[in-house]
Amino acid sequence: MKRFFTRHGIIILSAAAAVAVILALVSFFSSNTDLLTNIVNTVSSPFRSAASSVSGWFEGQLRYREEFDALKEENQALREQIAQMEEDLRQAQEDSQENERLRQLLNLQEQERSFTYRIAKVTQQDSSNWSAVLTLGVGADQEVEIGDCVVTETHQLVGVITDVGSNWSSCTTLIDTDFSIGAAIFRTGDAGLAQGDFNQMQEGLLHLNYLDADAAPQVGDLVVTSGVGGYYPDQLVIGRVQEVMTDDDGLAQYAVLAPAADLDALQQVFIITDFTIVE
Amino acid sequence: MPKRYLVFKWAVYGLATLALVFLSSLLLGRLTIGGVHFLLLPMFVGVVASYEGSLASPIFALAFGFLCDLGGAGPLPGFYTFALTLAALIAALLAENLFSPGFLCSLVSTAVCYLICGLGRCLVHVSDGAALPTVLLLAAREFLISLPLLLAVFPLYRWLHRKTTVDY
Repeated sequence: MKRFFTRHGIIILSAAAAVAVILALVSFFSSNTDLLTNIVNTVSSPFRSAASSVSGWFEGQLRYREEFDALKEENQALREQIAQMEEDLRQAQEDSQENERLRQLLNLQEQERSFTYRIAKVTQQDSSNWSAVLTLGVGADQEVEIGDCVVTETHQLVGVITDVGSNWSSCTTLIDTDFSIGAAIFRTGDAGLAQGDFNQMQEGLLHLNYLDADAAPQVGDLVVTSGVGGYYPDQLVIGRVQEVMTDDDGLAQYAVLAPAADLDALQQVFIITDFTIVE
Repeated sequence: MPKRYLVFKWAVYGLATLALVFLSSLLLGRLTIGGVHFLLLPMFVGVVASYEGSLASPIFALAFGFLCDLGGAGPLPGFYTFALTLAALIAALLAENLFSPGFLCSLVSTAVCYLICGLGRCLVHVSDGAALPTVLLLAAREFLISLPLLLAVFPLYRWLHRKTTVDY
């Protein structure tokens, strides 16, 4: 055994270490996806897509039976919610008209929110226990770029594009430990940083950190992106406060958030490739 | 041993392993037990190491780990290239010196591969701020729920080994 380690073993391990270091260096120094990674992912993309379709179909069949009763209850709750929202909408329309009149009176610029979307199929749900990344079936060929936000059809934030190949891209979801985005509590406007946390990733939750000392988050508060800096759009729904906690040192508080988007059931998402917001 | 035979043998191993990766993502990709996904990459390397010895299996592990890293499976670039090669080397040495090829040998070899990959993962995530008990528990659960699948993976590689091994 000793002889082996002095000959073949050391050589093979050195080769592995050298390859690992080269991969790390290439990843560190290149802003885009390297050629080999792009080739491997481009070739495997159709297989991922096929696997995703098949497993998604089976999952759908299983869920259909399991969730039938739950869906009936949810349907009833949603009907009540729609009634309440219709009332809110009527009020909002009146407020909007009043707002428009006041803007004209003050000669302010018209508000504008426009987004350019790219529809993407989720070709692979992350099957790792250590990260929460989705592989999407569109890439640089479809003008997707690193840093683009990924949302559901109702503007619930799913994550951010962190890797792009020619016909695929990786979306780091908001529960992943590498995820971080400026956020605000919708009710109070208190700003913080929504970040994935490894200890809570398994439960599908994330943290709202760096809240102001006088912030008063409450359970159920809606949390949205703050859009500070203009890099990401604001008002994308991140989730709701599930719990308010205090740091180990007892000096700062943070909130535990439940994402609004159902990350396990996503089959199609929307990538915001461009946006214009004028407040 | 003729070079042509070696190429054929490892091409068969490679294709079988890629097919297993595809099948596992098809059948197990969205399946969790207690919220934990299956992880089979160290198992493939562990079983191959138990049959193919301490020279060939680390080279196989190096190539397989490299592909895994290019596919974005590891926590760091190059993680699986190094971790799987080291795991295959140690597992194969143990298998060669302490056991005769068989299920028990593959079991021990697989456990060694999970241990090394798991410890590597833990190291990466603890240095990133995760709590040590959480990552250790996750690695242990991942190993325990994946281990029963050795009953399916082991016979396939044993069959491949028998079909592709010729005495010269």
